[in-house]
Amino acid sequence: MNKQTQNNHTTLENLWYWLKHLYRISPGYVRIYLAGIILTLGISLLSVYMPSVLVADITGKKPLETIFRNLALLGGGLLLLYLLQNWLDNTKIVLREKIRHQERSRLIQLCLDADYIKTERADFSEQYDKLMEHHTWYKEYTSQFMDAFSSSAGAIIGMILYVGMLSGLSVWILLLVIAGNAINYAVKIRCNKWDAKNRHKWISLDHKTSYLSRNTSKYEVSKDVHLYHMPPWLRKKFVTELKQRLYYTIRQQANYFTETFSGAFTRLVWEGAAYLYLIYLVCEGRMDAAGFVLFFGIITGFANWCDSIVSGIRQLHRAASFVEDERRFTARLAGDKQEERESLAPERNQIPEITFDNVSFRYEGAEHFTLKNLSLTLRPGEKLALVGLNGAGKTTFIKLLCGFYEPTEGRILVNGEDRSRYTTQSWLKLFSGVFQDAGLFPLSLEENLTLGKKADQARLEECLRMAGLEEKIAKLPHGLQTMFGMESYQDAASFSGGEIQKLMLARALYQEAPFLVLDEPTAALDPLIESQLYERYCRFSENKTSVFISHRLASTRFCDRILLLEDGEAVETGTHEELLAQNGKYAWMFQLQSKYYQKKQEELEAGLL
Amino acid sequence: MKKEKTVKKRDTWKNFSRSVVYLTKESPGIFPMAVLVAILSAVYPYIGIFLSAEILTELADPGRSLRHLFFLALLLVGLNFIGRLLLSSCAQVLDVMKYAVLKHIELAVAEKSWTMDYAISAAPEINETKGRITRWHYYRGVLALVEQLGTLLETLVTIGISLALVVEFFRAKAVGEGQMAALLNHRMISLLFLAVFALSVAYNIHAFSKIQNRYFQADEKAGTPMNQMLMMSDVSILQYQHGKDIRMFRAGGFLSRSMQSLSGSYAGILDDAFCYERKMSLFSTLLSRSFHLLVYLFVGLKAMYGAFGVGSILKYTGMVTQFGDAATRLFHIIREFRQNFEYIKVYFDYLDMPNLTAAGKLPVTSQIREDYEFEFKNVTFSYPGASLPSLCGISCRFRKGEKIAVVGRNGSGKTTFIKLLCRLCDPQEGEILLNGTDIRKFQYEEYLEFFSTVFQDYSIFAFELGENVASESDYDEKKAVQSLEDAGFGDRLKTLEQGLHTQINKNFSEDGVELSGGESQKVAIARCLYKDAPFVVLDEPTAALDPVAEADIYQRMNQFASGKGAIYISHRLSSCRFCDRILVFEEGRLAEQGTHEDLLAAEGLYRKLWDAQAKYYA
Repeated sequence: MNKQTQNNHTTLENLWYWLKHLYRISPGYVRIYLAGIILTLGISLLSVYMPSVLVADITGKKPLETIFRNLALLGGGLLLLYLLQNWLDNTKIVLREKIRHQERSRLIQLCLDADYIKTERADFSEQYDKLMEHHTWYKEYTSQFMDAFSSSAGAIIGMILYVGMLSGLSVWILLLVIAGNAINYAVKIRCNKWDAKNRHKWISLDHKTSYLSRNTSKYEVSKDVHLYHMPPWLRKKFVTELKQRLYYTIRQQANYFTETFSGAFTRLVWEGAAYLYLIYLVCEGRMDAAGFVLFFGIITGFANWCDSIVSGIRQLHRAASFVEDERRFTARLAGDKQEERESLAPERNQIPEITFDNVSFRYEGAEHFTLKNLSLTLRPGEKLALVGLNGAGKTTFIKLLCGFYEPTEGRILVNGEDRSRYTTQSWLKLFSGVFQDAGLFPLSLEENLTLGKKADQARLEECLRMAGLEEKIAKLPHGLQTMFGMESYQDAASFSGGEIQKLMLARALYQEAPFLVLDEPTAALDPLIESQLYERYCRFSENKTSVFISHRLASTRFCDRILLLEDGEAVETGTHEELLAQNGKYAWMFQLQSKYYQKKQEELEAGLL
Repeated sequence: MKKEKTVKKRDTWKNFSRSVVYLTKESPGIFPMAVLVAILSAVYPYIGIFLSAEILTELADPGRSLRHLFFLALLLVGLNFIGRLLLSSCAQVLDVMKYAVLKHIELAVAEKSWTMDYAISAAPEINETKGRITRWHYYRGVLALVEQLGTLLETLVTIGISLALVVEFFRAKAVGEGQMAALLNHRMISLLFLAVFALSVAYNIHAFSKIQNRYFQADEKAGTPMNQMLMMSDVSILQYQHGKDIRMFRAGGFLSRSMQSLSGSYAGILDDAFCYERKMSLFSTLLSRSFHLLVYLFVGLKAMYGAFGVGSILKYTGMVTQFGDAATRLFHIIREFRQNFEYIKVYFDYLDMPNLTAAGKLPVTSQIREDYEFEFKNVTFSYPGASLPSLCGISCRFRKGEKIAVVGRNGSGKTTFIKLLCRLCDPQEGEILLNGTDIRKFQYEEYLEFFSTVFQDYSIFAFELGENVASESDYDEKKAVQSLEDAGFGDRLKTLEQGLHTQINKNFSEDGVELSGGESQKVAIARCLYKDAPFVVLDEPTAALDPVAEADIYQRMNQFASGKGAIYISHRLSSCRFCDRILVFEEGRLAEQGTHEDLLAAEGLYRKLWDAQAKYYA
């Protein structure tokens, strides 16, 4: 369908690219493979010659010394080559592990450095998972690629060499071998086509079964799995997917069998022909027994080279498609060139003014705009509250503000300048905050707060106190050094939803920035902490511009301005009092929430009925 | 010590027979097929070895017959052809069988974790064990047994055939008068030959076992950093939402350094094992190749002195190589076979992990479902490794028709309280009674049928919407739609073209729909409604909802729970006013309980909490 867009690079381009890439990160690895080619050729030549020489010496009744000498020469040489090959083969594995480590590191770095929006794409996780698997477990293609590369390169040289050695023999034996392999190749191509056409089907089935066996068996989900008695259902789903998958496995094996059949059949033909021809030559007296051994060895060797080329090409194709995946993934995540952009460096204690100039935003592929014609100026030091129903576009606004998204229409200005003048990195430095779907990492608590920055104990304590966590931390035997993540560490502590939210708040406070962005930071907090947070809000948003999103409308009282979003549009704006006086949507929502706090019990029940 | 060993031995055999039974049950044909493949692959190479030797001998003979030679050649290629086809088709059938079993093992591992006691499922060891089983399950563990037994049989057959040839070889006497012939026929030479052979095989076995030991240790050690790295990559990359924090706090460098160092230590541990193998295997290659050379010499000399025809050179050199390889392989495979028991044990131990919850046998009768009362009697619970209990001496009762609110500060034990009620954890002290019977005595699944729950960290899966609501693939569509509408998802449902069959998330298809936090909370509520159990447990079900949806849900929930028992946990205290009774938790203790009015009058913690929130709405 979209083959054009799918294969941006030819197989050869990809292979050359990967070879260069490997050479860059580990020249020794590539060189070893090149040396390996020569060794393989040497070994194959000597092993063909040795038995033939032995047979010749014996049938020729040569003196003992000659036999000893020949064996010592050929055999000794062979021994040496084998030793070298063994050493190199094992060195390959040692280097491969290092390369894999580098590849893993590169992949991780790439994903963490990529623009956020690029990681939000649907197949990002799937692709990442696949590549990580390649660089971690047995599906890796680096050595597959190099093996295929060196064996086909060796095979080509070997073929030329052997053709030279076979001169004097009828050409058609060689042609027969080549024709046989050509047929095999054609059969393989046919089978490959089916494979390529249907691969996505079983890959998606694999993906589903692995989701079923991995994602549904995690600790976080097991509560629901237990209480909704899901195991029989999940099992049924797994078995259904597996049944379909097995159909493809069997179909695939049938393909392999066709290949084996064609291979065996063509071999039957050329091997039979070679035997009969050589026997005929010997019986005619045109060749001796030693010659028979030698030439038969050479023909078999030649056939093996042909075979290596056929399978080598196939593996190279496969490796190339992996390389293509990797390149595409890398290219997709790679950042835009920002060298021309400046670094935005506001002066100390000076908060820039950010203006949304008629900004609209639409998600890729979506029909409707999530935000429409939003114009707004965040004055330095201002506290803005963003309210609205679920799906009104509040979180999207935050993502636009922080620079995770770029406006589809309109501009975002900083101190009057379009923000595209500045690098994303320097823009992000302006912000700190808590996102709704934020998370903690399997690190120590302190590392979770500092995230690699210097740990200032006094400030850490201060931030924990502000977030209302000092008691909890004091109770932990290892304090801030306690690990987070029960699935990774044995002595990890358990945290409730509210405590995790407090930790994230503490983190946002510790990571100082001129803008503080809080997307529902109080959803899981208890009323006392919530109220404390409101009271302290002024203090910790001191000298900062802040944006506060909350469904608890009480929070808006401490903000200078409230913006009510509805279906992506700003419908009401003003202070709490102004909006109440307007008696619009905001007033209605506030009423809805506050009525339970005011009315008497009886009235309430009456209201419900 | 000795006793320990016999116990271990018994365990090994028990695990062995259990594996065989397990595999036969999973795939009855797998062992017969493995035997067939083993025998075929053992016999196959000898077709070539025997017949080509025959041909060469005949060729070297001046009285050769062209017709006989042709017959031999055609026999050789024909048998080769048939052998190859048979071998590969059988091997492929075996592969399919193994793949099916492999997937069933994957399923068994997953199934175990679905049904495992919640209380133990968080342990990192469990995760590592699971990783170890699934990572290796093709090469080590129960399934590997098929391959190993096959190789064992193959090797034994090969050894049998080549042993016969070795005997034949030594019996063939060199003819002639010279010193050399006498020397070749001397018993000492044969013995010396065998001694060298034994030595080279012995060294190979020794080297291999040392290498394997290293690998085994390395694998054990490397599991931890790998598990940690993958967990971290899960949280920081696969869960791309966290990328916002990572970028905003510029933590990318730090996190990638952490992961890189874990990846590095994983690679380092393996590197050590690889380097060791390189060293050990060098000498072993030297030995076996030198021996190979010696064989050539010895066979050649014997042929020269007329012990056998020149064609037999190929046969005997081939046979000695086969024999040497087979002998080494035999020891390898025996060793691997024995080592594999460690992995088999890991697997069965994992499957056998006892479920404490499985002990209950009493049925939850319909009388109980119709009329019930729960009682917490002096219940104390602490999480493993925690210094302080999360709940301490809780006593309270609640019955059908009562709506209970549970309030308290963060970390005061509210969620733990409902985890205990739902038997996700069992108390260390005290007991929880249902109509006077300890809940541990009830049949676990039936007991869980009692609850419709929405947890704080509910999970919605990447399946179809309707499946998520019903937790089942064949479900009542009408009821599912009704539940979704009651959960306030009705308007959104109308916008979905495929309705209940909408795929959630984009994991499997581009058409998948990503739900917002509020939307997925509504789906979780719909699931709770669909289950329609006698008792409702809601842990902050509206945290992500806007005020309008919240008020709506509370009203609907109230209707839904009328006549049932219900427990609400919420930090929005307005919800307490719907409830008949409020339990106030403070640092793991039940500090107060009573109605809203009572508690306000008591001027305790509840009053404080209420005032803290209500003042903003005054």
